[in-house]
Amino acid sequence: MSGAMGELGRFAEPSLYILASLGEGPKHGYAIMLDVEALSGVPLGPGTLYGALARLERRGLIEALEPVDRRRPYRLTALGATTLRAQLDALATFAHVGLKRLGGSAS
Amino acid sequence: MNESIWLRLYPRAWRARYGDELAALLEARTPSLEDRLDLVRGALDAHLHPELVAAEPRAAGPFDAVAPADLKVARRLGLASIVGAVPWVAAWVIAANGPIVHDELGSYRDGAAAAPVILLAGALLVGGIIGHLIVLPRGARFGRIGAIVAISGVLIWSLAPWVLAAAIAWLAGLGVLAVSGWRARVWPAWAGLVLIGVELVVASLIWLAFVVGRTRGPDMPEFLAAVALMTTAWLVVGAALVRARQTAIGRA
Repeated sequence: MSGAMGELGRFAEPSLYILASLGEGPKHGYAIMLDVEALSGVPLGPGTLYGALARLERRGLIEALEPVDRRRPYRLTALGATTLRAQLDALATFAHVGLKRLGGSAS
Repeated sequence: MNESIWLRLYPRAWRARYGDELAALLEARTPSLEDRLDLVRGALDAHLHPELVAAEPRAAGPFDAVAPADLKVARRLGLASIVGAVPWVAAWVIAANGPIVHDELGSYRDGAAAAPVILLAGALLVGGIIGHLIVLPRGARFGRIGAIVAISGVLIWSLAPWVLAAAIAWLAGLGVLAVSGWRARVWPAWAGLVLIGVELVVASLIWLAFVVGRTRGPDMPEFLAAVALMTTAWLVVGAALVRARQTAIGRA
C-alpha cells in the first residue's frame, strides 16, 4: 500500500475497505462495519473502525455529515475518491501481473 | 451489561467527538469478546494518538486569573518551600544530637542549637504558604484564613517549639488551606490528601510524644517520626505551587 494509505500502519487495510465501502455512497459506522464484513469476509472491530475513521477524517479522505439519531454518516471527499481509485488501480495492476506470472509459470 | 462502559476507556476529547455514534453502534450490535478486545486496543490507540481528534475547547484554568508576574513569584516561593525541607531535616538531626542536660527535673537532650535552622525552615515554609495566598481565588475565604493561621502557627512554633498550640494551629491551618485550595483547583487532589493524611498521623504521634510520653527532649522516637513526616508539608506546599501553570486562555 502506498502514499497516504501506507502511513496508516495497521489501519491501512481497514481504511481501504472503509473507503471502498463509502465508494457507493455515505454510510454510518454500523453500516460500514456490516458492508466491510460482507466485502472482505473479515470482521471489522468497532475500535479499529473508529481508529480508521478518525485517521481518514484527519487526512481529509472522508468527511462527517450531520448525525441522524446519534448515527453520523460519512462520505468520501474528492481526495478520498482519488486516493481510493489510485489504490484500487495499483491493486488491479498488482493482481494482473501476479496472475499473469502465475499463469506463465503454470504453463 | 451497559456497553457504553467501554467508551470510558477512551480519552474525553475522543468521546466528545465519536462517543455518541460508537455508543449507538454498540447498542445496535452486542459486542463479542473480540469486539471488546478491539475496543480496548482502540482506546489505547486513541490515548497514544490524541492528535487524531481536535481537542475540546479548554475551560479557563485555575491560575488564569493570577497575573503572570504574581504566578512567577508564587512558583518561586513554592520552590523555596521545597528547599526548606533541607534545613527542616538538618535542624532535627542537630537537635537529636544535642548535649544531654541534667537539671532538677531529670535528664534530657538539649536541642537549642537547632533553633536558627528551624527558624530558617519555618520561614521558607511561610514563603510557600504566602505563595498559596497569591494564587488563591478571591472567593476562597476559608483558605485565606487557614493560610494566615498556618503562617502564625509556623512562626510561633519556629521560635518556641514547646508551644503545642502553635503546632496545632500550623497543622489545622495547612489542612484548611489544602481543602480550600483543592476546591478552588489550585491544589491537586493528591497534594491535599497526602498533606491531610500526614497531618493526622503527625497529630497522633505528637499526642503520643507529649501527652502520653511526657517528652522533654527532641530525641523521642514518636517526636522524631512526626518531625520526619512533617517534611511532607514543605514538599507538598512547594510542589502544589511549582506545578501552577496558566492555560493558553490565561496567557492570551
